[in-house]
Amino acid sequence: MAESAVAQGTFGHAALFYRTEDDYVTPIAGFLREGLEAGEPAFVAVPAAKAALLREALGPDAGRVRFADMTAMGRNPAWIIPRVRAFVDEHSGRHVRYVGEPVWETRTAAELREATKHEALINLAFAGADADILCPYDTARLDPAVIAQAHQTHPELLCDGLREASAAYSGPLGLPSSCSSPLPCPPHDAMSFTYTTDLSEVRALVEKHARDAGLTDARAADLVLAVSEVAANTLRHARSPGTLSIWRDDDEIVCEIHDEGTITDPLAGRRRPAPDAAGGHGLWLVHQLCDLVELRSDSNGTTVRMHMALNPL
Amino acid sequence: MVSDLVSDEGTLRIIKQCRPPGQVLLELTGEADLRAEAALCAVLAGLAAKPVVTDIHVDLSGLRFIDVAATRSLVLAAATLGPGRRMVVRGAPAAMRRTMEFCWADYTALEVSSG
Repeated sequence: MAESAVAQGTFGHAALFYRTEDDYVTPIAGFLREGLEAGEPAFVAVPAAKAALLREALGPDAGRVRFADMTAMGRNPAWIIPRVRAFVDEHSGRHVRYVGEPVWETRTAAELREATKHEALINLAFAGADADILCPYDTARLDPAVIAQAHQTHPELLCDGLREASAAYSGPLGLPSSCSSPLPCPPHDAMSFTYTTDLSEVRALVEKHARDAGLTDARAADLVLAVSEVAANTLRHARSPGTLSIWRDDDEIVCEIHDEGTITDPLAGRRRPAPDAAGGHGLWLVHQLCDLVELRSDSNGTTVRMHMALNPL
Repeated sequence: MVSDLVSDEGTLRIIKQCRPPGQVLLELTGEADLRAEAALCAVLAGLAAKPVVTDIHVDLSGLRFIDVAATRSLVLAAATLGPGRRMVVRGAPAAMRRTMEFCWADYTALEVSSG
């Protein structure tokens, strides 16, 4: 067996680029077997069809690996880090292995931005953790720009069974430009509303548009709660009015809050706050309730864009 | 039985009924959001500080909306009560049930009644 270039007891985060089924199964099964032989817990979150290939390759050993369907667990990429964190914490004191495939070709542009951001934030969220993380990328189907970003978000690449440093790695605080530059502008026909004190009006507008778009009562209520929390942050932290924009297309309704506040924690919404924490519950909840959340914040202001699918799977 | 309007801030009204022995019913109506946060906290802290009040019942069936901070106030107030005292919420709106599910699922001090 090839020796792992990364010593146990350290954090590792490597990208694996594959074109064929064999390119996929052989190195991942090898990565998992190496851990299983050392008695390490393993977690695999990949699309279900890919998981089936890995189960087949692992044979009886598959029973010692925890599997999740990434298209459900990571539909919103912000849900992934808390799930991996829970696995790491569950096996506290032990080195764990995790295979995560959050990027696939049918993701929307907004989802791809968030999945890429998720990959970058893995480095920050698990810095110093006793975890080895491997992320497969399908170079036969994904846009070359997406592959280039994987070089930036992963400190290591796994090639031919050997690990090498990724020359393009941006560092634990680096974000590829696709997920740090301003979001594409809302469409020209988006509804826009400025609020200063009254969140009742904000909620009423979101509810009306959510219902007009055909969201179920429960999902409309979720969107109202999410937008209201973000708007409340404007009134708490920003010293100027906020703007609510709402638009929709064939697939989703989008609500965006923009204000002049600043959110400094890059992992806001991706770390479960302690029950008695003074803050952080609002943004955490927003990320759990929505199908996708895009957040951009700097000294000029904050934009939080909340997406809800019209026909959720 | 005495009913007092103890707070009318923003769009939230809080009515308190004292039901001896040791029981208090709070009725919240309207929308519990940022504008009513301080008032709600003050009412809850006032009750929590009275050991003679052992059972605090909170009727939320008249609430159209409750934000995370207001749910948090209820959850944390319940957690301060200690043995022999309890807080029971009924008529929780969808927003509160979702907030509890994601933020305080394992927090059992606040009893949420389906009735």
